[in-house]
Amino acid sequence: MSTSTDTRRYTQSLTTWLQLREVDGERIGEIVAEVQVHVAESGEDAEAAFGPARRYAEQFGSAPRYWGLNRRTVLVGAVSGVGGALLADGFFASVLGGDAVLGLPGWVAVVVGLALLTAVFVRLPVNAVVDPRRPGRRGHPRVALLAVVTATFGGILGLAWLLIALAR
Amino acid sequence: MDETSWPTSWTRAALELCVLACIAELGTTHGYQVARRLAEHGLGEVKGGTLYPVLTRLEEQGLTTTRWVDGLGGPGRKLVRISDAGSRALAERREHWGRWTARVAHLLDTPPSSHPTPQLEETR
Repeated sequence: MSTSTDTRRYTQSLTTWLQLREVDGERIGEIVAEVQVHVAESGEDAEAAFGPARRYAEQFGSAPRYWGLNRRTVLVGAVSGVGGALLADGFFASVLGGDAVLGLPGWVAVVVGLALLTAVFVRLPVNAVVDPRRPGRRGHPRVALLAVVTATFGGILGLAWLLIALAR
Repeated sequence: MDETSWPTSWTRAALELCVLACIAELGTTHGYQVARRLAEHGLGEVKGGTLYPVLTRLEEQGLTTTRWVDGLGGPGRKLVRISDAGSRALAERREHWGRWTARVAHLLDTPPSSHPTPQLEETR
């Protein structure tokens, strides 16, 4: 017997694996909706009916590129990482006093960091999941998640940089 | 043999044709109904992970047409029906399958010792 939590967890995992296999967002929406409808009607557990999400996803798309080292992902990762680092560094430098990285005033680092992050999010290629039952709604594109992760990581790096600079 | 668990290789070989036949039989239908119909025909339980990729292939080959409809209090469902090309393909494949299974049945009905291998006979 499936629960809505089990099904949600399964479809989230399935969506991730399908995204990694670069399946088109509209097709992902269909595959996920088929799973949801089937388990709702049969009362079966999603994993019992469809097998592990990773194995089921292998029937669609191409083999996943785990490292994703193509020009697009490297550029998104690098720019959002630098943007996040500048934003964090500039923010803390402004609050605590002193210069940010490269001797920039804190507010300049904040502005440049925000500009880089905005540029990344505006220019992101989108492979959003589209539910065929609600075609107007779109999910989160995978590359946007990459940008959020790298911007956060960059922010942490920026903070660490500042703490090291202050300790000196 | 337990009829609910046919060898996987047999099911795999016949599944696409059987699914198409079920869709033709049911008219406008949906995935779960096809799974139930296959079970009612004695083909055993076909899991969603096996059935839906077959339904997708049939649609990609143009043998079925599909559309999503809102569910009444449910999550909505994908309706599927056989296309004209699907009906023609089903008739053709049904005939081929009939000839194939007749040959297999004929082979299996042949008594084991009725055609001894001449070379092996000579070496005895």
